[in-house]
Amino acid sequence: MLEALGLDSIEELFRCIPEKIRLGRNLDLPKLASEPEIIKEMDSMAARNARMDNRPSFLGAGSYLRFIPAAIDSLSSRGEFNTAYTPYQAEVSQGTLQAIMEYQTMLCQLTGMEISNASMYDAGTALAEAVFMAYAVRRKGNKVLVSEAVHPEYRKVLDTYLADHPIEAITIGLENDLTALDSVARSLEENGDDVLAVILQNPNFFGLIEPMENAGSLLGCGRGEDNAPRLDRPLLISIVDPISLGILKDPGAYGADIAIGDGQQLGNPPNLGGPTFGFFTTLQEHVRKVPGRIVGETVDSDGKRGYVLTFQTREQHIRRERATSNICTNQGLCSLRGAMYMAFLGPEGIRKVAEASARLAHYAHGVLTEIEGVEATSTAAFFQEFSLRLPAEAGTVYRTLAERNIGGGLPLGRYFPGRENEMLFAFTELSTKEDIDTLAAELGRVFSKDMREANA
Amino acid sequence: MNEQQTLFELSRPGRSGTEAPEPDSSLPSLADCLTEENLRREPSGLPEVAESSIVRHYTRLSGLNMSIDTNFYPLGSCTMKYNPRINEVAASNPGFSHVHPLCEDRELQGYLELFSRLEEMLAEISGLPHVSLQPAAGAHGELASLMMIKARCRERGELERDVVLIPDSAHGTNPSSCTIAGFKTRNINSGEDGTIDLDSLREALGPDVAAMMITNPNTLGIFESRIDEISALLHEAGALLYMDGANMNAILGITRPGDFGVDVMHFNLHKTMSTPHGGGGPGSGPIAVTDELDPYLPVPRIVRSEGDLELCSDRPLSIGKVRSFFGNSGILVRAYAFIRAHGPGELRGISEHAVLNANYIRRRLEQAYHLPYDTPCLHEVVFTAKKQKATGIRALDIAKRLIDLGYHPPTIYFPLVVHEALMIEPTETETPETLDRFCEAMLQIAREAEENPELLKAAPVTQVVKRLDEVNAVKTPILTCPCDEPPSETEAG
Repeated sequence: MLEALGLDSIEELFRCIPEKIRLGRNLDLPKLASEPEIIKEMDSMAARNARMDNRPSFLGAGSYLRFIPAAIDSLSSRGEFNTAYTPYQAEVSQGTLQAIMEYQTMLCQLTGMEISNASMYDAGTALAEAVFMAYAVRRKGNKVLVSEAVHPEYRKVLDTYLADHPIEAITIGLENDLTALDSVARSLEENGDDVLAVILQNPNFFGLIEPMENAGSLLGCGRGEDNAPRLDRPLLISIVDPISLGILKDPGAYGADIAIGDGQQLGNPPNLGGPTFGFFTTLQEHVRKVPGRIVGETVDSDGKRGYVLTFQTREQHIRRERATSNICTNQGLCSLRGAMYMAFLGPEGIRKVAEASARLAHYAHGVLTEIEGVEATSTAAFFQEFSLRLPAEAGTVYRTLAERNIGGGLPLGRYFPGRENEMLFAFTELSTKEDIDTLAAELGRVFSKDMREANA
Repeated sequence: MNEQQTLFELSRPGRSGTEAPEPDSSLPSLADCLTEENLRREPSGLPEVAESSIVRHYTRLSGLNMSIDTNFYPLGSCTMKYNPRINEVAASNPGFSHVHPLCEDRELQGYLELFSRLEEMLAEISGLPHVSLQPAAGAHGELASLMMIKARCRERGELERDVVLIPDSAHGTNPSSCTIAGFKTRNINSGEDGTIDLDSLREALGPDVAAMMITNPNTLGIFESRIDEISALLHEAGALLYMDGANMNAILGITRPGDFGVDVMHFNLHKTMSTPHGGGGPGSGPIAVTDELDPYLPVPRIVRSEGDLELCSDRPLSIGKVRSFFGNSGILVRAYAFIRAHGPGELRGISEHAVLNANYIRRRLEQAYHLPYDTPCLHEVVFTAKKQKATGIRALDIAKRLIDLGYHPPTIYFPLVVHEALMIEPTETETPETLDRFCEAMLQIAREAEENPELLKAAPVTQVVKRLDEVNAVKTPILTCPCDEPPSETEAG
């Protein structure tokens, strides 16, 4: 090939790079490793991570270990899906495009919302984009009310995104670990039309079921008399757990204007929190302000059904500095797995998974609150997660459990200073009664010993 | 080829694609757990399809895609190279995939070790000493970088610096990231050789400029050979130089952004380090910065403390978190495996072959297709459809005809500075035979454009659909599949 180019050496191809900025040495990197060497090296690193699947594990808080139908791994790893790029060339991307169209539809079915985009990076960035969208749609107000029971990681991401924006986030405190709706009402009165959106999470970070319908009525949610979306009130941004929608009321039912969430639980392993995908759903009329890619149905030159990326004029590659979002790639493969999960589970499967998680969690709540010194932190209804006040520092308890090969719940002090003795326990359909009994027995032993020592 | 029914058309009441685990009957009943007011009244309207039908459905859908595994995919600026399977095997280890993000640091030592080594590798490759692996995609890395630049302006009391300079050949994400980070943009023209016009830059520079965003080599595949002058001009004016790392595949081990004056850059691991594009993600967009910008990097950072690695969020100047939890960890694992499979010489070899392949295509096609710039190119080459215009042929028609000949089209109509652009990036992983066959297909199309232009305008005809009506898709938007059609008599699947 060099010959065809009339060159003596490859070096000549790089003549356009001035000599003085050339590296002029080899990169200081380890030498090439063969496949078996790489596998050995990486397996030894993987062995130094704590897994959720080889011990009872009660961590949740936005990332969960769930049953994933075996067919999902084999289908999603097909090179035709995994090694394709964004479906800009529609005729050679109908597989990806139809899969996204079905993904959008299934998410709308699950959430009761009208339209969905093709996915976002995760729930945290989806929340930030939801606030920007609310700002663009409503064009009035620069305050968002954010419940303190919104996942602290999502809140931190939102704060980062808002740092250079005229939008101010106001925290709404808790009562019984639920969002204090009377504080929301007070803030609405004080700030009037300046409130552009209210952000609630359901179930909230503490696993509790928020009074979403009351919140919806407080804000005047739902369409107006002319059936158009109402923009004369703050928008309701609802962060939802997609699995919970197998049994809980959906955001469409309580009139959310934007519903977002994290899709990890839909067919993706925890992966240390990523890659996952954020989902983003809203009302049809807002389509031109939705961030990210959207697939639509159309026809080809013979009138045959086909799918394309649509409303592309919203997007950065066309609108450039006037785009309301800079997102380019979505989380294609993760959302494809999400679509497959919804397809395999179906309405009955997701209902069963949600129901099993809730029933196991309620069994656990009964057993764990019987332990002396352990008490519930809230009396509110919960889905699959709840926090308990322990008679010892929760971080220490976590480490004691780890020594006994149990993955404890989340010590809440990590996010909420002052709540160092509280632990957030999560349960999924993969939890078992036996695991819960083991956890209860170990906690009972730990605390009775602590008590004895404390009393000695 | 027949159109593929949707999952909703395949749905029949009562069918199911899997047996979800049945809850133990001795558990409290749902009615004991939750009251009616919390429960949904009707089941969700998800489709009900048998497992075998779903497997066939997705297998058939996959067959409607072109992909790296099936076709040459010279999509310029996207670096569509072969994705080694070893990366997938490494990442599927449950010691990586089944790990919870809120474990304690001492339970994550394997991950933190891998991240820490990957940070060091990317620092060495970029010539910039500090790296954050957090951003989930290239555009996300851009945004995080601009937020850092904004935070630095704030810290120095220089918020009057609210303009970012952007060359007209830049990716669209660049200006839109600026807007989201609270900057205004100012355009810099390309000169006649396709590189940044220094006079235009001097004119645009002022006390209101915070930074300039470049891509080097730029989106024309041309190296900004006066990059040291550009960076000196910016630094003299108190502004920073940002580099979009989309085109790192051209310069691995040859030159380093940190050595030509870049202050902050992002990598696209899904391009340069060959993690699969996944049909549009997940990507990963780590950022590398100078000592001066280190304090602004997103949290958490990885620090070593008494032999163990820890995640540290106590960094007062940090822009904060840009993503929940850690980043696209699974993609970082794949990128690590890719770099390990290449020593220093082999990494440089990637760029050598990528550049050789692009120049070979350029040489073979430069008679048949118009080259808007005769400046030497690196890893990608931009042609135009100017010579084909006489018979009414556009870049789009050439792209669609390539599909019928078995190739994924190049990037078209980008960069915006080139009219009717066809941007070809072959990457290093293609054999000379593939490049020859592709060039022959392109030459055939050039002949057909003269002799039988209708053939190009009607293309593609070999796929499940012909050209799709995008205008209609916006005019009468259908954004979800019809869900309530009565099932037909014929059994699906």
